[in-house]
Amino acid sequence: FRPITAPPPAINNEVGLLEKLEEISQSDLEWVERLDVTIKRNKSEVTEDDQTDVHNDFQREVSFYGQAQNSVISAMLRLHSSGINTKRPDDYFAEMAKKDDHMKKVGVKLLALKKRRETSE
Amino acid sequence: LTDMEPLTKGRWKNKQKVLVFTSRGITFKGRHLIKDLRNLMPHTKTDVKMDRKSDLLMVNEICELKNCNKCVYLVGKKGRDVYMWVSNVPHGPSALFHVEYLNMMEELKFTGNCLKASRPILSFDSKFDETPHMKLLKELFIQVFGTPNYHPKSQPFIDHVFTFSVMDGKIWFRNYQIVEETGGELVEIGPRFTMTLSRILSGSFGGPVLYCNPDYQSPNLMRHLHKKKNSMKYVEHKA
Repeated sequence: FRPITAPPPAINNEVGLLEKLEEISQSDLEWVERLDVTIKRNKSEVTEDDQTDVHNDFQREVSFYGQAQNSVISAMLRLHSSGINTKRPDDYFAEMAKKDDHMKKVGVKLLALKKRRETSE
Repeated sequence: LTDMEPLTKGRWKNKQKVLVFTSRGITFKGRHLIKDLRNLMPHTKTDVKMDRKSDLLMVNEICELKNCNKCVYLVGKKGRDVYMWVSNVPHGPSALFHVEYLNMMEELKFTGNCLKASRPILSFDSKFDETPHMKLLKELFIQVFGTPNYHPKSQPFIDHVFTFSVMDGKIWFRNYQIVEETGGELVEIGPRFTMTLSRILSGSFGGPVLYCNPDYQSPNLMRHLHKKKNSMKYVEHKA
């Protein structure tokens, strides 16, 4: 019997974890099959001290955005240097993740927001 | 005949098929999350909701029936908590997460958009390389969330990026549209969620525990402690 507030026994079987990693790793595949990028997330420029505040939405999102941005830049360099086309031609039509009527709603909302900002000035 | 292109070009090599489904009693948020994941990952299949009371090992059998070698299984508990299993079927490992701070693609605050079946770039925080358990999670996420090259249902373009960051003991998921490739201009598409690791099992939905997160508090415990903290308010005030 363990009281509800007691912490669970900490288990960290490092050997087992690394063995499992070895077992599932796809070392025979080229990078382009996986497209993963690992990047050091910089402390965001908006923070003064070196700790990003988790509870500050703006600081947190800027930090995530920075990570994504750096990954995109490095991944695109790698893709383009190996001659892989990433861009969709302008005359290529395919189904989008968000439907047109959804994007229309987003547009209407943005417009309304802009209008409200202008009238309040 | 000399003009014929080599056959190996365009061969679908990385055969990942992911079963994405939920248990019964999931909240609407969990259901929308499944919908968004299905929408963004062309290499997924789904199945009917599973009865939560049946054996978890049944999930392995369902995956086998559906011809899937990876699984994302959402469990809803108490009508409010959402848990996520991410598993490599049938030999493991599998990991259990508590999912919080869900924002859906449907919400109007995300203005980005991408092709339905394009391949994402997977961006990881360097904290994923620091400890063995995070390395294992990174490998698992790459295989589950990455759309394989030349997958029959995928589009051969790359116009969005999945971001996994570690902050405050949680893994934060974000999805951005790539607007400008060389400059790296992005617009968020959604969904957003955080995952708190509970434990990693060696097998798929079973087997010995490889890692147990010492900082993990179950939502039940969190609520219990919160209630307890507030319960003394009146007594303290009186004294």
